[in-house]
Amino acid sequence: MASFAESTYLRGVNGSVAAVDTGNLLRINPKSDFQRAVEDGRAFAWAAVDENQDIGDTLLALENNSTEFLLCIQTIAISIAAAGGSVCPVFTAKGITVAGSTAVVGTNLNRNSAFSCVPLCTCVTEETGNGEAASSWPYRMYMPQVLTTTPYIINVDGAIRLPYDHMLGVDSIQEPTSEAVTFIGWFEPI
Amino acid sequence: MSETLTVIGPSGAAATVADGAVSVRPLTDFQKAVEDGDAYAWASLTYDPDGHDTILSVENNSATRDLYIQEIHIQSDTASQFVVHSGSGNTQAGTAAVTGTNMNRNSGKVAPATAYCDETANGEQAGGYLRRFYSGLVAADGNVLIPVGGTIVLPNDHFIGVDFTTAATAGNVTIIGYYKDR
Repeated sequence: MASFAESTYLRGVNGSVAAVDTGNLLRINPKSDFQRAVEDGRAFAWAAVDENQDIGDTLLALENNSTEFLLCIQTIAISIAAAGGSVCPVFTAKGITVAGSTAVVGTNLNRNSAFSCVPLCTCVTEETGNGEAASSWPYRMYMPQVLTTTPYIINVDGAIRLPYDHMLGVDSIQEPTSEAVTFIGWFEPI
Repeated sequence: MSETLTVIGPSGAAATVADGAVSVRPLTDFQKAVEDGDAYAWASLTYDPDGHDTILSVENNSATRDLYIQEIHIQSDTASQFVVHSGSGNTQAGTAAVTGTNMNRNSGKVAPATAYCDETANGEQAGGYLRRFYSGLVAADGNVLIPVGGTIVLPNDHFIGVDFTTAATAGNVTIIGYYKDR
């Protein structure tokens, strides 16, 4: 069997050549779907304001209203002030009419981008439209014990994907005197 | 016919294949920026903030490079809400300028940025913090680390700020970030 040897460069679409670093290691630059979404201007932060919510309220709820994008969740950050802390169910639901006290507009993580999430989703604090707590959150995903005034950060890394009309919510079983919940996520074209 | 292909870099060095696998060196944008001398730390000096003070603000002043935020560290001796926010188009001002420290001490590069602790020129609190990245609570004598991982991008004349809503006697914020060509 004949064989031949050839040396080649790995060249990208812009003409630049991949480096081979000391130790004969081919340099690669891994990029996650989230990083790519940030660079494309499709990633957002939904950060609630403090409202001293009542027990039974959903501290923050985020619903995907788009049939063209999946809403992928990267990070959930939960803070509460409550003596002894509280279990804070993280759950999903679908087909509800989201209602709450304050609308939260997502902040585009790439401040170069003019892409708006406003027509694509609904996000509110003190959400009262879902009845998930009454049936023990049948679509719950996490049940963290959150210590008082200590942020609990869940790195979901895109593993929660919300299609059209599905929502993500965070409740607190104990009534907090102060609270703050932040969702980080991105829209992935279907 | 079989074909042998050797991948070489611009320097002429060839990539190793060992045990049937290409030896690679994953390099994140942050690691590359550190190696190139384009990564900085902006650490505020401890002071006694009033409620809703901006403990630290960092503004990108480069017209050609975006500022990517890697980490945010928050410390307070008093329990408080904190808000990580953004804005643009103001003239930064405050009680103490903060010079970014280049993470690569081989580099003589200086950050194209303006940073202040106790920054007073932004009107984000009065406007209801319309561009929030994170909100949360820090405990008394507590620390909060937000591992942003380069996923907040600030173009020229945009800033990132961290406010405490409750007055404290000792507060600190550190922001780690790096520059990348647009």
